[in-house]
Amino acid sequence: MNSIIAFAIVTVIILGSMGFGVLAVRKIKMTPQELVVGNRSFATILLCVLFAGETVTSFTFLGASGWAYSRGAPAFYILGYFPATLIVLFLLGPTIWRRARESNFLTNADYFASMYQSRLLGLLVAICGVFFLVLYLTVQLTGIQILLEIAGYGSVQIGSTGIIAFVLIVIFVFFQWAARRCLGQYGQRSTCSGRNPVCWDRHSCSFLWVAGQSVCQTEGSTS
Amino acid sequence: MSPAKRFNIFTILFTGIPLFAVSFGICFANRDEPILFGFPFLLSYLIFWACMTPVCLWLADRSARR
Repeated sequence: MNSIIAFAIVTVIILGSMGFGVLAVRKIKMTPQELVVGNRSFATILLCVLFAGETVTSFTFLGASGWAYSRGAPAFYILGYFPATLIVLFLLGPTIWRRARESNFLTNADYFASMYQSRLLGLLVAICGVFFLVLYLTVQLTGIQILLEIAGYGSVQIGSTGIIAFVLIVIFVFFQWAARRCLGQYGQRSTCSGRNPVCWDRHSCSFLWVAGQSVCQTEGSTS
Repeated sequence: MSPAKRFNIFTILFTGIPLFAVSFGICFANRDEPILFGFPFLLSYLIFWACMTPVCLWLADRSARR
């Protein structure tokens, strides 16, 4: 009985946030810029909440407390790296934002390829970005598995919750017609040939990035 | 779009102090005593700097605007 109530709450929250997400983008004309960087028009409060969602992940809820439990005081470093990140972001962020806005960059690879006039560097950054994003996704999926398992009071197996979580993410990202349309528009652009590493990165990376976002969202709402 | 800010000595100071405090100052705060608010000194030191960083960044932002 407990597990049914818990699952009902989790389901309502997840479906509700997915529904709100779909409703919110329904009337917006989707462009690549809109999808990847929100048309560079996020308000302050939204940006604050997004930062919180980026930093406070399932690692903070599960990993950090586990660290502190098993290792003790060394886990305090978690309190130290938030301020350090903020300071570095304060010093570097505005410049990067300004340059990216002036030149219309969408991903990290765009930035490096254009700033250092090197497609090879762009390709390297793209590969690194995708590789580490996959690792990050794995960590988040593991986190959501554990969270859903706890929410189900052990009545579901670990593997199936992982699959459910992944399917939810894929639905959230790919089911939206907006995203598909955006991809279609993107592929037709003349600068975007199949071999261009920057564009290749844009295709894969932006979708992985959105997937990561939705992981954070879903998992933030479950925890 | 807001114009680019010019960093000066105050900006460096206000960003450098918390950065130093959380990255290197920890070496000097690595002890239990004195216990503040029931926390060991290291934990209260870190919480203090986590709360002070936004204040310092606000000051740095203000000094950069002038």
